[in-house]
Amino acid sequence: MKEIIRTEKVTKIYRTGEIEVAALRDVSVCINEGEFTAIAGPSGSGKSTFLNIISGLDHPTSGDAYISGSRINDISGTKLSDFRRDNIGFVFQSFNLIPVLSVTENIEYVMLLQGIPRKERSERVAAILSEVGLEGMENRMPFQLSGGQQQRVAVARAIVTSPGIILADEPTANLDSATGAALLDMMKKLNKKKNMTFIFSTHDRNIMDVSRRLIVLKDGRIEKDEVRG
Amino acid sequence: MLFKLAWRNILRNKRRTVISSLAVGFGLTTLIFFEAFALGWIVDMIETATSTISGHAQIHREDFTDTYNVDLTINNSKNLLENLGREKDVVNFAPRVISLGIITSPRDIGSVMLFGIEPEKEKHVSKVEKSIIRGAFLPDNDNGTILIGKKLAKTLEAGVGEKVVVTVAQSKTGELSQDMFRIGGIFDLRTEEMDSGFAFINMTRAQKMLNIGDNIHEISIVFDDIDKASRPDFFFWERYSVNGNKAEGWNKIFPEVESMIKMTDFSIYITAVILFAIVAIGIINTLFMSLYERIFEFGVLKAIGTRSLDIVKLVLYESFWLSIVSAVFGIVLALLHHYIFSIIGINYIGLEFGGVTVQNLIYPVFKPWSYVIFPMIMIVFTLIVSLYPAIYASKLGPAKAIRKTM
Repeated sequence: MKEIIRTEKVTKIYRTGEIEVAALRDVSVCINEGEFTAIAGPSGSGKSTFLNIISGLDHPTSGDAYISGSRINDISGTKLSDFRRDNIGFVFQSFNLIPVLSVTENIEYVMLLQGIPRKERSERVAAILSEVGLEGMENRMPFQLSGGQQQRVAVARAIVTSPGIILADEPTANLDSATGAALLDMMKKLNKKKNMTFIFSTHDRNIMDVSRRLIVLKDGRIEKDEVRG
Repeated sequence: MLFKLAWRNILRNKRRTVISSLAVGFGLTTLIFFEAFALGWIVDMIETATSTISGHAQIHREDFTDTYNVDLTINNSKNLLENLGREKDVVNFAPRVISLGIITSPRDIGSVMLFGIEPEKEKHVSKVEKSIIRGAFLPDNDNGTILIGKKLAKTLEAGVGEKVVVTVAQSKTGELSQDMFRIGGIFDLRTEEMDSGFAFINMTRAQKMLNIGDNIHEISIVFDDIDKASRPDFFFWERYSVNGNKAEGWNKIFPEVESMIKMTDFSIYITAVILFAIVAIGIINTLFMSLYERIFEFGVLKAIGTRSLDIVKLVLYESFWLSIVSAVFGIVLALLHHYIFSIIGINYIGLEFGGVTVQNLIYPVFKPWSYVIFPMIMIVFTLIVSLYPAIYASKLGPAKAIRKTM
């Protein structure tokens, strides 16, 4: 399998005045293309920091992080923005759609940044809405959608440009169990169908159960890294 | 998309947008209206200053207005008057003889600036005839009457029909010359200096008293367009400032009025600076409030690939929309104020400023260009000051901004 994410002895230290807090300590992980991976662990274990580092939202204090062979520490500014835009889709905990844009406009946003022509954007939006089961809701505003529907739009936005990696931060945390299960099922299908790499940070037992790989962090270190059949 | 997003963002918190826009709009209204009012005041000041006595321009012998030396009569005045009669830019003109003197009534005494005038011509260049409140204006043929101001009449405790004696120093010899007059009329020019110290007699009588023959000291001139009188390149000054004479427009005759105009321009500038500073603080405050509420959203936008430059653009577009809404508020309010005050006027009648007393209601002057240039300056200024919050937003680290969840 092709390696898509690799970290080598990544350490991240946050400094507040004199106080130093090590969020990650010598974390070395390799994630392959198409994996469905859950990063679990208690609060403060370093899950968020790990996702920040492997998405280029933050830089490690020491160690290296690679995405698709590119050393992310070396990329900055506009190139890093473009790199994220083209390679990573994000799904956040609290939906985080742009509240003043409609469903279609939210999904189109990244494609607009990529300069994709209007016709192609429309086709892709129609296709993706069908895929996530939101046909007929193109012109709704986020506040007119339920939590589950909003999260589906967030997933649609994340996958519409076919990035290699989807990073999802506790995507089911604000959903009831049935809606969370349905969303998870949808992402699992997308993972199989499109061979996208999904990495979750989660407390959700359901996500951990369906993930092919479970990495457990504790105090900034990998406590467990298991691959299931 | 960013432009549309910015517009929708400023509509998110409509109450805040309306309040901020009203505050900025009021600033703009104040500036536009203050300028309109100041221009109205200036127009009134110039009109008052020129129409009361002076006319739009005057010709004197050089140095006459510094000394009021009666020997300094206008050179070649006959030809000069004939030439003025042929000038197409000159609508009216009136010759005058001027001397400082003493006026005495049976009960009191006062100093006076004595004007010898040709009544028929004077009617068309000054307000003396129209300002007679008791008695009558001078007849064309000298009948030994004098016009005095109401305050001088009070000082002298003299009324219409009563006798006064005027004493002046004659030309060349300096011999005192006295003549007795009967008060023919009392005027109210609504200016302290004139009402308490000016007196008018027939010109031939004045020439006789001063022993200056048919010479004159001043020609007051009214042009077909008052603006010509303040133009430094107007041909008139060069043509008539010859032979030791000097032709000057109202702005040179009343340097204090011109200073007032310059001061008003400066006041508008200072007002603009203060208002734009308030606008800047208001805009920055509004944008930062909006920005802090949406820090997480900016983090998301950056995370999904929005470049820093696009974040700068987004905040600037928001600022642009905010300033457009503010400009609309400001223009509408300014037009409303203008409409109301152009009907009712602003009452500063009686207030003396720069030696000129306000004699009419002041009406704001409508200057369409102000409704374009001030809003444009405000919009550009707003965009400039918005660079600060825009750059701040663009520099937000996405990880820090969205740390709440990731």
